Amino acid sequence: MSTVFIAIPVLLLLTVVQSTILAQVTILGATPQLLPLFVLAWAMVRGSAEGLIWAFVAGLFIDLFSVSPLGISSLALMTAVLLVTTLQQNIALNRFFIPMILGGIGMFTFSLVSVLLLRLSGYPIVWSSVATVPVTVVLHAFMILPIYWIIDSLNNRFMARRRIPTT
Amino acid sequence: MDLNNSRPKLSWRVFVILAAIAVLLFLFDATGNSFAIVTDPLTALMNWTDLRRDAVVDSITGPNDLETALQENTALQFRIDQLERENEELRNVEGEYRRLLELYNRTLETPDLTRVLAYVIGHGPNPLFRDVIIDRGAGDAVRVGMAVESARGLVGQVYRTTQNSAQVVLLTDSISRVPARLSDSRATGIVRGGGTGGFLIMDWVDLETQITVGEIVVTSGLAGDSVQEESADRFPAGIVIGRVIEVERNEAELFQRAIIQPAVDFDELELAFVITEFTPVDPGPLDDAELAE
Repeated sequence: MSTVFIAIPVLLLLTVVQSTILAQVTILGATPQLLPLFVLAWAMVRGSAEGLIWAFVAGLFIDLFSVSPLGISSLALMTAVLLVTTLQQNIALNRFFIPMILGGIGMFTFSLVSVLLLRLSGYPIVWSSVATVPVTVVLHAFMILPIYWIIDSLNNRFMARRRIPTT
Repeated sequence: MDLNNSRPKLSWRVFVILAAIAVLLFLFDATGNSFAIVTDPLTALMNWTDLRRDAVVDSITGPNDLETALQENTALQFRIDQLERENEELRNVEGEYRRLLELYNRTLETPDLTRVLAYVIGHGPNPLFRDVIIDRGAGDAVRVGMAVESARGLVGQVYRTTQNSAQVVLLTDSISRVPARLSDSRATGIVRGGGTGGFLIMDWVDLETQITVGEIVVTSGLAGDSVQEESADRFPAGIVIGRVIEVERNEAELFQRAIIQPAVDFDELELAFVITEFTPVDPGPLDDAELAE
């Protein structure tokens, strides 16, 4: 069975946790964003095709439960997943810090594309929101490691192992 | 469906297809269509989770020496725990009572407004926006554009509704616009969010007006911009927005601006009123001089 079918309940659960608990937690001025983290880690472990579908669903949930226009977060997250998985093709993921770097790049792409798309659709995004992006990127680069390890070990134990390019 | 051995071409195809769907959804959403079929069932789940949030947070951040203390004197500690729990419950009840009393007093101050009491059950998952989710929706006569207030002042405006929940844009969000008036000088302007440090900005205040620091800013009740186009003129007059903490004045410009500290602590917001009905401000007939202009 494809893991695509578990995306909806898992991401729904993460949305509820994000909205009710994590939304009020700030670390160095940045709020942990569970859904993008989870999607990026999933894409690194399971590949771009699954990652894109998870990104699409997660983006919809982010937009449905915020005042953001529907579809913006999906597009931003899918772009981040596509970039991260493309970069990943040429990197050996078994190095400790690679998921960190890719996670940071993914979060930066997600934030940047979100802001650009919101600006293009007429939303007045202010500098103070964008100013937290560097902290967000660094914070999530560290936070992605445990999530990546959990998904990777679950993948090795329960799901078909994906071929990881080593060259 | 085996996606593990998918070729790069497939990824691009998936990306293009999903991006097209996302754009279609964006357009669908922009035309004011509701996705209540998805969000409604989740509201119940959010409610349930929110009720248990404090317990989860307490278990994470609670005292670490509880287990050792239990081993040392189990019976006594059990009793202390019990009393502490009771004490905590009583404090919570007292806090709730105070909040409800404040809200009740607020309703006594303005009996002409019709309100619906709502609990904040969540925050929007997108950190680029300042918004909350409340447990009242279209089924409770909550409509897009309605003003939301707490006992201390204006909270924001309803942005989207489903049958049993609503998303509220907070005053501090950059898309928020509220027609406002300075309480002493009576000058009007537009209060918007997006200021640094969670402060609000009052624009379009006449340069001739002498604004004093500490002056209270309230809603003017006049028609103005709204977060949704179909919902202008939704703020009753006289709701406290905040207090002026700084005035930015440049003689070369026609208008000045004031930086405002919001009256409401949005991080502590648990209860709020949605103002469902009120008597709009009647600007009255124009006099002869105004008509001549």
